[in-house]
Amino acid sequence: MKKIWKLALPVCLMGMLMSGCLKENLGVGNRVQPEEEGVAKWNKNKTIELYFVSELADKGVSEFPQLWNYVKGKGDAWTIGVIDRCDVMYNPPKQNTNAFAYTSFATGKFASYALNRYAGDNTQGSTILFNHKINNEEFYPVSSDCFVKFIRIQAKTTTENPVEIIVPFATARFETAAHIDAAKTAFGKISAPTHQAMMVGTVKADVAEKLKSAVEALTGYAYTEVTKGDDYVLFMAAPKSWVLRETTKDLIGKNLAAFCLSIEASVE
Amino acid sequence: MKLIHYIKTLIVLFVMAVPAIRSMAQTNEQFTVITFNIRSFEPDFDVKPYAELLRAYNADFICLNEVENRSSRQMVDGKYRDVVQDLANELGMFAIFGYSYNLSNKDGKLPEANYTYSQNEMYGNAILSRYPVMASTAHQLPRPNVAGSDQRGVLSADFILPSMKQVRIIATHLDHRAGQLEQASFIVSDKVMVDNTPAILMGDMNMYPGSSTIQKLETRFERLDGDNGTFQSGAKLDYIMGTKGSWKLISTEVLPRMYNGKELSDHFPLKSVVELIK
Repeated sequence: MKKIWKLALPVCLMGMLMSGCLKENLGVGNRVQPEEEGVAKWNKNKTIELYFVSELADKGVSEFPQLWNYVKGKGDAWTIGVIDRCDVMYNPPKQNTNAFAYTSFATGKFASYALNRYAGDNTQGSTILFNHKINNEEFYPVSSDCFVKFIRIQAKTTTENPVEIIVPFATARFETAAHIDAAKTAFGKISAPTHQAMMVGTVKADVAEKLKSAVEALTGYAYTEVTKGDDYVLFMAAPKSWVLRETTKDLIGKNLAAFCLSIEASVE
Repeated sequence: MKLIHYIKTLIVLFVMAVPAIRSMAQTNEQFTVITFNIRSFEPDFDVKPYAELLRAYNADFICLNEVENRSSRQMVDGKYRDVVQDLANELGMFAIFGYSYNLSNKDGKLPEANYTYSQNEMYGNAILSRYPVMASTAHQLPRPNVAGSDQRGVLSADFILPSMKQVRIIATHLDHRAGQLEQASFIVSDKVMVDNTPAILMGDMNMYPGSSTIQKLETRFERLDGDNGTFQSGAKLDYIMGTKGSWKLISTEVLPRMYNGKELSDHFPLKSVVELIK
């Protein structure tokens, strides 16, 4: 009996691993949010797709060629997205490149940088990619190593007749309980009637519950855990009229994943 | 025995205090800034010679004027190119483009609202920086009602330095025909100067030192450059200025506008090394 288990267990584990990889590569393994009671049915005609590329780990992106190919492959369907931990050496030798500038150039997208922190000669932060020029971008400091970035981005539905939807978009990375305690002013700004931002970002797994409480204390806001990695949680904090309907995952590098968030606007 | 213990404690305290002492002894932060009217990267739109020329100066901030970006005539293999990000990448810098107008609406006859979400055919200013842009605003300047004038713009970008100090870089290009005084008035107004963040204003002002336009700018800024000519005719048109009392000029220099025998612009780049004193 013991022998059978010794043989069967690795085979079963291998099978589970392979099926998981296949699902991710095919972009399936979708996570559909359960439709809540009292919330209208999913209307795809006012649903945007927001991409969030991340390893959900404490390390910068290294698989840039795969990333650029993925974004280029999406073409105009990529109207709004974030490259998490697109770290940049800001004090480079004279021949160095800039991961932010090159990502914008290589993908043909417009870009804005959301700084997390300076770390030695590097910046840690995210590159936000979209399809049009902007005349304004804002930031709200939380601490010397945490900032909230805010931009209004025009997204489009991926329906046959695309509908343009302006997304008051914000992103940030929260790593400590102190960040969340210090974020009160920033949260006040982005949740004000002038902004009503939809924030999609990452939070260290051990303080995710604290962030959830802080977001739910904001009038009219809801917190949604999009997905969870070993170290970080991908979250959405937005007015309740934005509803996350579905999340799909494409593995685009060894550990680098693109999460596609289908978010419906103006849900009553 | 006690004495040895005290000496040891003193040594440990001294070693712990070294970083703080070093930090106090450091001078204020210095920055190399360059302003360059690049004449749209004409004639062949190749950014590489510009990168080669500018790389030698290892600038912290570079302002560019006459930036044509993502235009039809800059296409390669039928695809639009973001030449600003291309140049920034060559220099290992961050970049932001500041929209002034859409090339398909050069005469400004169509409503600007048509171009709020423009993707291509753009013209304006740009800022390249060692540090990431935290906040930015691009404004259109008042347009003079004179034939041949252009829709000009001003781009303002805020930076948080590794020291956590905040500075603002403002890039502008005033009109070459008329309306410069009105445009300068807009720049010194609270539409652009929204708070007291130390700022550096750079660009082609199309006006001479001592003119009413430059005097208007000098109500909020002081010169951080010299009077040497920056245009091919020998005229001084390009300026580097800093908000009053915030900066000290360390050195300034007009740079070459030729690279390997190729004329990169009809303007010379202007470089200053400045110190943040407040």
